[in-house]
Amino acid sequence: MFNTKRWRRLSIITLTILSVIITLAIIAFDQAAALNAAFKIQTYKIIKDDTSEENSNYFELDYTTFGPNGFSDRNTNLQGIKAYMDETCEELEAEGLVLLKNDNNALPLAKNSKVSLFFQGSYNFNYSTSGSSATTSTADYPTLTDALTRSGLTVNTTLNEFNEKAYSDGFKRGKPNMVYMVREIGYDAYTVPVKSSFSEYGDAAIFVLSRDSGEGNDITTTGSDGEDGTYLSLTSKERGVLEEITKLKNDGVFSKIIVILNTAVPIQLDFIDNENIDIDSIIWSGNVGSTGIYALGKALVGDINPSGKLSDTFVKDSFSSPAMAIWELNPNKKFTRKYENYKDYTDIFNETQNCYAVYVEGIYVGYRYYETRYEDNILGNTTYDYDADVAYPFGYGISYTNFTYTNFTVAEQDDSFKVSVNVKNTGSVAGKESVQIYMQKPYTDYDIINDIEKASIELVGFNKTKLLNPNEDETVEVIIPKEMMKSYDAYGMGTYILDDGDYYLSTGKSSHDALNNIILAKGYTPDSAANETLTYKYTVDEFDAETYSKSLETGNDIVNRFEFADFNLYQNSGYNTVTYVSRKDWEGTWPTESIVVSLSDGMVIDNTPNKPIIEDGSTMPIFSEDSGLSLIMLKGIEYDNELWDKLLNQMSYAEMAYLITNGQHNTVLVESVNKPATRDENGPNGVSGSLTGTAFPSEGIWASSFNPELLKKAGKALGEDAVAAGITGLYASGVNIHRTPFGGRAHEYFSEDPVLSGLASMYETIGMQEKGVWAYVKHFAVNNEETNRNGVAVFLNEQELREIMLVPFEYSFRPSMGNAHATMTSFNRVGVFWTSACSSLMEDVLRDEWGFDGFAITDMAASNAKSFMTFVDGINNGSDCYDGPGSKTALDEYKSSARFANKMREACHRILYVTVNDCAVMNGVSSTDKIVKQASWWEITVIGLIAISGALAACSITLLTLSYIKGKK
Amino acid sequence: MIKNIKSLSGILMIISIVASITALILYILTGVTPFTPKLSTPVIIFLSIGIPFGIASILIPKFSKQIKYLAYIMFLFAFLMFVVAEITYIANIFVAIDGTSFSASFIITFIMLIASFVLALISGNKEEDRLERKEDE
Repeated sequence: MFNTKRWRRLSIITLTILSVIITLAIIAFDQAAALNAAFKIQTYKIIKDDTSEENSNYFELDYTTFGPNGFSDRNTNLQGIKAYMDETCEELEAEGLVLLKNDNNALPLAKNSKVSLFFQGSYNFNYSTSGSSATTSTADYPTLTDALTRSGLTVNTTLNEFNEKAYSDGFKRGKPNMVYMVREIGYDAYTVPVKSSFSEYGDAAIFVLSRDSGEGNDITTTGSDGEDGTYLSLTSKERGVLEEITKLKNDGVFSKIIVILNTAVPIQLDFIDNENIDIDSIIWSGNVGSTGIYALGKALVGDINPSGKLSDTFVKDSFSSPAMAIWELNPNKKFTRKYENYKDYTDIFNETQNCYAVYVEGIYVGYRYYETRYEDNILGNTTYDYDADVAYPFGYGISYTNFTYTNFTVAEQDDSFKVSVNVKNTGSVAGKESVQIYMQKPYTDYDIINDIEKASIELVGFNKTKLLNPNEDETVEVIIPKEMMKSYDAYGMGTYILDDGDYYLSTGKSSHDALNNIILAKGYTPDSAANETLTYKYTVDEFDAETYSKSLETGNDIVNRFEFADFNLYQNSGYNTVTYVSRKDWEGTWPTESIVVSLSDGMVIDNTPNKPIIEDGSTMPIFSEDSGLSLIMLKGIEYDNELWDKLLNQMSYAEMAYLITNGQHNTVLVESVNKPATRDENGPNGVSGSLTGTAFPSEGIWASSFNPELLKKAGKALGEDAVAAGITGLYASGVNIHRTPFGGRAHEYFSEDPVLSGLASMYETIGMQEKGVWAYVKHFAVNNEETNRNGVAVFLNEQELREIMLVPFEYSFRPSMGNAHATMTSFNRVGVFWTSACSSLMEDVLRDEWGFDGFAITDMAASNAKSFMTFVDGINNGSDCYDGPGSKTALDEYKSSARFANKMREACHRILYVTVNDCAVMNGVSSTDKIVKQASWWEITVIGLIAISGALAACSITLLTLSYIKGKK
Repeated sequence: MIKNIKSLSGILMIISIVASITALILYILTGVTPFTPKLSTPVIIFLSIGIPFGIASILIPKFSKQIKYLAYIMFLFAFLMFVVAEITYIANIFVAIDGTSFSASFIITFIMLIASFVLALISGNKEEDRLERKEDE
């Protein structure tokens, strides 16, 4: 009994176990939100008042009903919702895939055609991506062979087996050492049996060109196996196979060559001009999601008539844009550079403060550059070969039928133009047509003097016809707000202006087509046939710096807010300046060298986190004063009503701190005001952790549908899918601009065009929020690339920021438009200010100008909270919640600051306001119910284990002590 | 003391000390990252106490066994505090959103910390066994 050795060893063992369990407990409680989300644990219960007769079903859903206990008492028609999600996925792909080329009506293929599938993408198709929008597994997704077989085609199995073996032998896409590689197998490895099979399956050679993308890294610009060193060009092996099959086509072995661009980002299409490669048809499919591949199969055989229009320009040279020109000049062809003198600050700065990027392109992003320079060439202001750069312009897409546009009319209304055009199907197959409306604003002497840039053509609206049968027509209407005519004058009036001069509205089958119509209407000769009857000229007689100098949403002034992001205006810029690309002088302003920036003393101060709180004379708010209010009682009550003050007074400081700092995939339970916890998950291409597991196609495909109703349906579907899984907040949609083809998260973002991005997000948000699911539109803002995203300082001028980068957010948030109730900010900075800590962004623009009524959460704060995503900087400047594992004591060091306490209070106010009014989690909560915390099984287990191991350790030590005493006696 | 060093328990403790010193130096040199901008004081303290305990266990044969166990406890706590300090980094990698992977310095520090407390524990057990055999003799 008193064996000292035994008790010593047991003491050590039990103490060790106790130490490990306590450590695991510390970690578990620190990451409680993540654990509860992973285990799908409900952390609260509702104590119902059975006498209540209130109707507490605030949100009705189609596939989920709610029992007496409301949100936690869900009953989902799983089969129904799965079918709905699959159908929506397929529909998005069906209307979004874009037919780019179709020589000799190579498509559609006849059913019963025998086809051969080439390239690893045919075996390892690109459905989704990596990062926060990844699907859990694509193993069960239908293959391309499945889809084609279902559509009536017969696929070459010998070649398929060869592709499969090549894949297992290592010829597959990958990212070794963070460099994207294609690793396609060369034609010299094709075996005799494979080559012999071609003639039997020679109705079509279908090539699948796949490229991956993902969060955390940009697409590789150098060091990949693409022929020009990028991941987006053909590799020599791919080119070799295409050339060999072209020879076989010339010899009659294959009838046609079809290329499927299976990538979220635009592949460089220089090879379409290669005289040794003869492609009949090209389809852009994007990433197809879980069931979109069936739509692709149907499109190939004509069961679906392609109706998508490109949401990005597809180019022949990925470095042809001004944004890429500067990228190419940077060391290692990287998006970012380090400050020239960063080594002088290594004792105070870390990696998140050393990098920057300068957006020299101004508004000339995507087609805005290519089309403007094209027009300037026609006007004789520059020398430019448009065809050398552009393979397929923005808005381009063809069909298996033909459409004619007539009767283009514009009716001026008070604040808008009603644009109508008659679209007739003059072909032999039913089809839909996307109608795009473009605008050209005048480029005036005032603009030239004040450095206001004007693109030759800008998308201002769109709509889509119904399915038109041959010879059927439809008059399509699009309402264009007059507000679209404004431009931002950063260096002159410091606000939005309306230039005097001629404005043109036009339509066409692409941006280039619409511009050609305008060019013809202006009396010049475009590069192809044009139709000036599809244009409308509107003349503004007087320069106007008043009308749009105030927000149409709130009436507040709009003034320069971001001078700190433009080296030419930033008071702390030191010796740093920028030459922005300008149509005044394309050649003279084109980037010729990388921009070297040195940190000035002022920049160093601005770049430093944990800025001191400057008290503003406000009084310390009241805490923990119970007024007997419950959150649900404030449903529908105006934000500024004094009842909100009484409710907020009920919260303790600790509760506020916890609500604000512990926002990792949830907002926490607040017992003092009866707020239930909510669960948030990633999108935007699907709902992470959903019951259906459906992934939608890449967002570029959604946008390419140009279909408002379908985009709304996608939002509704995501909302249904989310609620079924107990999720009421989705980190979606992603609306950052496709500034370059190499942005790593392009699959999560819509387009290079701000209006298309903004309207797509607006429709999706409306659909999603109908279901009581918050749309956390992200990433706010200027998160266009992934390299050094943690803390990279993005410098740009205010015209680009307001007219390009912020527009998608503006459309998402304005109450008269998308009215999104939440946003997720970004890891990067605007200028040197972290976006979440930038009051110009978070308060002046987001709330004062746009009227945003929701709350703002940071991106994953666990990564960087301690280095630059600090509580004091974010909360003090308009951020409301942190996507990280916070605590009740996380903000204790600021307890004495009245200003900070009021900022915390405001943050909580926003979260509570949106919860009670816009969140399905309130379903089932009536004003007399009580919400209480419920311990999760793992919390009980951990506490139990601590108790048991503690007791065992105590026993062991006691017996050890007794054995020592006995031994001594 | 020489007997102490030459024994298996002594050898194991020396390796444990080397591992802990390596961990301490590596941690001080590379422990500051964007995920953890400050070094964890408990890690440094526990290692700093454990290392002298380990050395003392070799130099003071009379209490070698007890001191070895104390060294073990210190190294164990250092390891546990290291895990707590690095949990956001570890979680970020397992969430696998942005391709961040474990750095070489982190992996080596992690292994050295485990080695230090495991070897110290075994060293203590071996010392106990050795003293028992000596008593039996």
